[in-house]
Amino acid sequence: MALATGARPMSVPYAWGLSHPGMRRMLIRLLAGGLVVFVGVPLLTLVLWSFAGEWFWPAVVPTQFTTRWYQAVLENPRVIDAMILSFTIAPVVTLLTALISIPAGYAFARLNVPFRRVLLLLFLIPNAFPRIGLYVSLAVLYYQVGLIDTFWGVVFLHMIGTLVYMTWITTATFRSINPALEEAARDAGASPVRAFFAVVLPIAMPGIIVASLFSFLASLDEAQGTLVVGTPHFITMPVLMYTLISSFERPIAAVFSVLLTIPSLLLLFAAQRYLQSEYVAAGLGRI
Amino acid sequence: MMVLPSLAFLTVFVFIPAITAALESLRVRARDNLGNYSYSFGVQNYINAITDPVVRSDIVFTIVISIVCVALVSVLSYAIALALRFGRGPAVRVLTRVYIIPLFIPSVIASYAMITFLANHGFVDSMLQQLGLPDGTFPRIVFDWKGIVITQVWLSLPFMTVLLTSVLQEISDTLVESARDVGATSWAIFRQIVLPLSLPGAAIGVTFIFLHVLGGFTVPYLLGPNAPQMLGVSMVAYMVNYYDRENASTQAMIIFLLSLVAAVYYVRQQFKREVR
Repeated sequence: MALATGARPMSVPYAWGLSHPGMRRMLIRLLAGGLVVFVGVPLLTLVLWSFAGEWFWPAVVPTQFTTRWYQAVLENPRVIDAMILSFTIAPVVTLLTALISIPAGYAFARLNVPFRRVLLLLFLIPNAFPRIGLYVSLAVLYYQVGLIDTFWGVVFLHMIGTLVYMTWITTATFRSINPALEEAARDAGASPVRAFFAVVLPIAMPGIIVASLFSFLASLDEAQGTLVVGTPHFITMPVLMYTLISSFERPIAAVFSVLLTIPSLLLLFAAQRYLQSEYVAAGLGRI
Repeated sequence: MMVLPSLAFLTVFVFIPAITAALESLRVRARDNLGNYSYSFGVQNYINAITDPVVRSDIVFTIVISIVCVALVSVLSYAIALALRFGRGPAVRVLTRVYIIPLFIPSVIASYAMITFLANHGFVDSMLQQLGLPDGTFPRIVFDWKGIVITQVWLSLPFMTVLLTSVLQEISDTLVESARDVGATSWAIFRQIVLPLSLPGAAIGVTFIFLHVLGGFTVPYLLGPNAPQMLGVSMVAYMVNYYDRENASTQAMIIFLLSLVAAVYYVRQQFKREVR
């Protein structure tokens, strides 16, 4: 690809120099540099704030560094409770979502087109209806059935988002698997269930892992709905973050942000291998 | 049969609350001289929303912000995706590692990072101070529409880029190379092969980001201006501050109807792809 048309001088004027390999390399470098600044520096600012002992404007970096904010945060029982709660809810949400969306994804992948149109539209509604409006209506429903301010109430609310997402990714993953493989297993005498578990599921695993990972992160991230149906007893980490931001304790909020980001970043590194696999691409692109 | 559990779940937790909201938006509340409320059925709430100058400016503001965000994310992500698909070298490896990061940052934290980064007397401001910019000349970005747009672009970047990269991956090297062999310039290849082939696939990303920004709450709540507000924020204000379920539901329905336009567009694009 790098052997561009630079050898043909005629082409250069049309391309604003884009045909020239050196020019293109420059542009990519600029883009990469710009993105590093745009993505990285805001996060770096947070890290700086979390260690700031003394930071008077207009100093670019703090004039004094300290770890006492970390101590303060880690000694606060509310923070520890929120962390435990978040990391209990996220796996439960992910597991339940996987249980109901993997069969649905499989069914979608093998269904006829007319059914899929209707279902596709039905599954788009949760995304089209403004979440926060939905949560407010849901809170009223929760009051009537006694799910308000309960663990399961929060879990079900988180599942609204993850369910749709996971169904779509698994649909695409199953669709990318050739049905002939399954038929071959059936011809060899395997039951439909056996064919699914022995042939289809292992091939679909990377896609399912990515979808589960996204569900986990989405659950960790969910704040607005949890705020509505989970207060005052079920305060997850991002909900606590809302209060910290509005109370303007900048270093404390910064420390909390850093702590809240670490598990996500660990997951990112753990999942890097799968994220570059073709299944993610399939998951997002070919629904 | 296998779809039933998820359909049942969606019915209870999505469709029923959504229908409740739709009915509520059609309930008109009137107050007589004694302070008693009476309710009737009609579209008066919608008429009020459209004729009220404040709500109307909120609606326009929401639509404009959503379109601006989608446009910016599309252009930026397309550039990154092109570089990832057709570029080589260390810069591309840096891009691969960096663009995905916002996907793993909770939106509350991203918003907070942007506040510390872009606020007046924030990080960028003090950087510019050191370079000699007079105090007070830094534009207002946080608590303004610019803050919403920048943060939403930041957050949506990975999703759109992953999507576009996968779409570009589906365009075969053979096709591109054969075009090159017959003398097409890079620009011509882009205009006549890459762009048209990638547009239908990009539709899903455009729709998703549009819906996401349109109905968003966290980012505009933490970073947006007080007036005009995005509908998500104004809706919560009606709900929580004024206990006005009817008008809050009406605003939810307005966002929903706007979203439907995008959703219908998306579903039609998908049908076209399936027919092919």
